[in-house]
This record gives sequence, structure tokens and C-alpha cells, in this order.
Amino acid sequence: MKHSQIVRLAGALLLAVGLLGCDPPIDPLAEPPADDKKSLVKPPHEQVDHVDPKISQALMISLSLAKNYHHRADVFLKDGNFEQAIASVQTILRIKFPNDTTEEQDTKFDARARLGKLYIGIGKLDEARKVVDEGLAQQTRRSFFLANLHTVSGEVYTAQTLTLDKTDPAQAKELRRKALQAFDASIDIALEVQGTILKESGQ
Amino acid sequence: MTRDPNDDVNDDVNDVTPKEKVRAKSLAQLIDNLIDGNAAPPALEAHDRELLETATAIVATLGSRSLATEQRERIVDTAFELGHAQEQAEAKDIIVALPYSKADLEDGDLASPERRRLPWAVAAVAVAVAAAVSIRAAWPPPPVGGTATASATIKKQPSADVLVGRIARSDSARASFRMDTIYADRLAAYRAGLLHRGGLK
Repeated sequence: MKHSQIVRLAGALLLAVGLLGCDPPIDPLAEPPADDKKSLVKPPHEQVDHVDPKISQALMISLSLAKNYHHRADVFLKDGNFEQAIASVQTILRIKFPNDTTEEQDTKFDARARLGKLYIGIGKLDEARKVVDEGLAQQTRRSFFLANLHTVSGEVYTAQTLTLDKTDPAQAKELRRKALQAFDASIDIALEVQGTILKESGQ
Repeated sequence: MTRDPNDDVNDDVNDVTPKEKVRAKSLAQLIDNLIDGNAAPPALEAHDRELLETATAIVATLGSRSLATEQRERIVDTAFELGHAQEQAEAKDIIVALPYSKADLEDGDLASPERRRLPWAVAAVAVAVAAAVSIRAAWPPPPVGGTATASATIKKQPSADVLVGRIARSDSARASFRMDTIYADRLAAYRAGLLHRGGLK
């Protein structure tokens, strides 16, 4: 008997044994009988955890754009080009995200936090104040990103006091109070989010 | 008897070369890939393709699932040990159940390259059958009384907060780094989703 015949014979025998010894195989594509739809046990490939349906191609494109504009800003910053870096990060605020995803607010709050720091870096404190306050006005949920934006808000207030200390001490004092409020808000939110995460993870 | 100079089969049955082992394992890997749903390579030796076709028939009947690497290697090694046992049995005149007879051994045909590949054939088919058996073991029996329901659940991705953690003041401007982290996680989930759905629609 030739090698190929042995192999085919072995395969056929094993196939026959498998068919005789096992339950009839379930065709995952076949429609269940009309009176048995509730009792159908799904085949193994359908019993695994499904991936979050919100992770869509549209979301990936939006995240990819945000990531690339941040990297673009990184390159400009290495050249000391703050204006172009700011322009790149500002573009992120205009990226459209799919509805009902938390990634949009997280991404844009983080972009605003970075913008605030960039504006502080070049002394444009009014622009820094504006971009941070616009973000804080849009908050809909507590997150580490919101806490971070409050932190940057406190830093903007702190930077503003430096110029006012000599010219308007009262105003400087008021801004220091606001800075403390912003830092406190950041701490409170971060603790709250941290607690929620620990609770959800069962710790 | 002449043999193909390109044939990589060793003449000494008791001395399985590393090359032979690698070839046997690569063949087993091919079958495992096939079980995983991948297409067979376009260029294959005729005998290897026959083995793959046999495995395909079994897989097509029983579903698809791969074996663990350790399990697959154990089966391949066992097949080679069977070859050694045949040689020892011949010396002691003991009958060992193998897919070739003592007459085959005596007529010298077993020394041909094709017959020397037989342990690989046994190994490959054994891997395919063991995979089929593992599918059956993992597949729950149909419910009695017809009250069971589907158990599929949706795996929710971790939030960005969980991914990046609390943001220190010194890191408040490191949005680029955090964006990379979030993107990497979502991309992995997106690819897993693509695989689950069988590709882009």
C-alpha cells in the first residue's frame, strides 16, 4: 500500500470514528429550528466575550488624528516653534468623534490642558485662561482628564498672579484664592475617580 | 535503491535528525494554522498537501480550534517514539500496532523516503484528530429540556481613566503620551473586533 493511500485511509477511518462517536456537529451558519431558537447553545466562537461595539472605525480614525496632531506638536516643540505646536494641538479640538463615546471629552480635555501649558510657556495667559475655561464649561462627567484641566487652571491663575503682585496685589490675592480652589477641585475629582475605579475593580 | 539527493530524510530510523523534527513540527504547525482558519501555503509538496487535505476534511466536519503548542509537540514526539518502538519490537519479535506491517519492514520498502515520512503522517493526522477531540471537549452538550440561552457577553474596554491613571501635576502637559496609550488600547480592541467579525465588511 502506498504512502498516500495509507494517509487517506487513516484520515477516512478517523473521520468515521469521529462522526460515529460524537454528537452531530453544529453548523454555526445554519438557522435553528423555529421551535428551538430559545434552546440553541451557541457554538464556541460565539461564546467568547464580544468586543465593545463602541470601538468603531470612526473612533479609531478620530483617535489616530488626535495622536498624530500631538506628535506633530512634539516635533514643532523640539524646534522651539511654539506657535505651530499650538496650532497643531488646537486642531485636535475640531476633530469630530462618534456620538456617545467618552474618548472625545477625554481627548479634548487633555488637548486643552496641553494648550494651556503651551500658552503659559509663551506668556499668553489670557489665551490660556480662555482655552481652559471653555473646557471646564463643557464637563459632563468626572475623570482624571477633568482633574488635570483643573490643575492647569490653577497653574494659569498662579502665573497670572506673578504679573499682578506688583501692580494689583488685591487682584493677585484673589487669583491665588482661585488657584487654590482649582487645585482643590482637581484633588477632589481625582480622589473621586480613583475611588470609583477601585470600587469597580472590587478592591 | 536510489534516493533523491535533496530528500532530507535520515536513513537511520533510530536517529531522528533535528531537521526531521523541525520538518515534522512545521507540518503540524501548518495543520494547526489551517485549523485556525488560515489558508494553506500555495507551494507545498504533494505528500504534505495530502496530509493537509485529510486534516481539512476533519476540521470541516468538526469545527475549528487549535491545540496548545505543548500538546501539539507532545503528539509529534509521541509519533516519533512509536517509530523507535517499532524498531525495538522488531529486534525482540514483539508486535506493535503501527500503520505498516512487519512484511513491509522486511521487503525493504520502508527505507524509501516516502515510507520514512510515515511517522510525520501519523503525527500530523494525530494532531488534527486531537484538535477535533479538544473541540468536542470544549463544546457543551445540547441542553436537556431546551431552557439554556446564549452566554455571549460584551467585553467593555477599560476607560481612559483606568488606562492612564491619575495625572500628576508634573505630567499635566504630557497629553501626547497619554494619547498614545489610549490609542494603542483601542486599536487592540478594534483589531480583536475585526478578527471576531471575520474582517472589514
